[in-house]
Amino acid sequence: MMNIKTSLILIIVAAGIGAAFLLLREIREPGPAGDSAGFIVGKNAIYVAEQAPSKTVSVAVVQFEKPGFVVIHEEANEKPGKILGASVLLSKGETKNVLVRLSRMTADGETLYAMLHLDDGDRVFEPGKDYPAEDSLGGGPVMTIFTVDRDATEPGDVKP
Amino acid sequence: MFSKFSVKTAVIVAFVLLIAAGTLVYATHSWGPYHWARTANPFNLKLGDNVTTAWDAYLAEASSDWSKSTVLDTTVVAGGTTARRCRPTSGRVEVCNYGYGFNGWLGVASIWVSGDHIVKGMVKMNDSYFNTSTYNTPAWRRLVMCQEVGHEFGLDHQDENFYNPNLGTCMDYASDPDGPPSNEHPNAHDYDQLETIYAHVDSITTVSQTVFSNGNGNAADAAEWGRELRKDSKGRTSLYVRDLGNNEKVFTFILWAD
Repeated sequence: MMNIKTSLILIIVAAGIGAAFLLLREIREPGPAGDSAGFIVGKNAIYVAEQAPSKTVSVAVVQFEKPGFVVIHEEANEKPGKILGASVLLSKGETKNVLVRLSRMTADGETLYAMLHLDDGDRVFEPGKDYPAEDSLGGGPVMTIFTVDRDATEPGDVKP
Repeated sequence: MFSKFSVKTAVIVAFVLLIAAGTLVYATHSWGPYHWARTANPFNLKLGDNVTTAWDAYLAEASSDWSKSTVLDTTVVAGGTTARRCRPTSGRVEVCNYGYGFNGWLGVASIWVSGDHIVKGMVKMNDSYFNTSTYNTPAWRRLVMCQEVGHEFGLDHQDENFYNPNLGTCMDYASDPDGPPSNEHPNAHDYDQLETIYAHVDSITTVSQTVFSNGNGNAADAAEWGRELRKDSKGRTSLYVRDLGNNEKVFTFILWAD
């Protein structure tokens, strides 16, 4: 009788694991929020599509080796300049569709930079304390350049 | 009620079914439900060439590889954007390369969708990395170009572990792209998956069909295309929609050549 009970429990557990496995896979596969690690070659990575003028920037996908912030910079002499805004603290790993609020409206034709900064542990972004993440191959900060265009439409999904 | 034999059998059957279900699920590698709408197979998808000469051969090779599919063909055509901005064009895929910066990614594929239907796509190859000795190899270039173009048809990865043995397809992550086995080209499973994705036909098409030599479309054709939906930056109608009733519509994307 004990064997039968044990067997039944095993079947139920197995069925539960199977259902959870299938359900998780189902969630992971079809939606625009699906998983992607693609050809991300660094521990930290970011992709931002072209943006329409706005007081926010939508970051398509970001990956952190440890908690950090996405920081949006103006362009100054073809380099990152004044900071326009920073994301909330993002956890280690991959996050999609991060919205960063800016201090001003972006303008049509403008070029901006999105740079990754690692949190120093206090969970609050401070430019002088939360230093940029460095790319192991490039040696410089991990950042991406993107443009603002009034005709921009964000992609439905992105696979890096 | 439960004999020892029937319980054992039940356990075995449950595990077999579990493994079979898992295998079946992992055997599919479509990018969600996304696909190009078209009314017949094979359909021809244009790949806009916005790449430099260093990439031309790899784009041509990827186009040739994927055209071996029975459900689609690709044609490399003149690019419709600039490499740095790499903006998409309705009804086709724009392929670009540029030094997009040390931002962590080698290649990116983007799709724009309407419901389940892909309406335009864009591929970016990041020269910031491909200009380094680590990635400036034919195998890496071939793998990434093949994979990113493959995403544009609605394919996902077959495997996402960089460090397990190669599966012999460019839709598999790899740390050693030329293997063996080589991950520089699609494999039979990719072509099978494309046949599954495109097993049905749609009543509309989102694939660009027409290129005109000037900005004045034939009025009779335009009447058939239906209502003007969108104009390009030069004020020319670039998208028409014709309502067929029963919630069916035909979208006609026009690429006006200057």
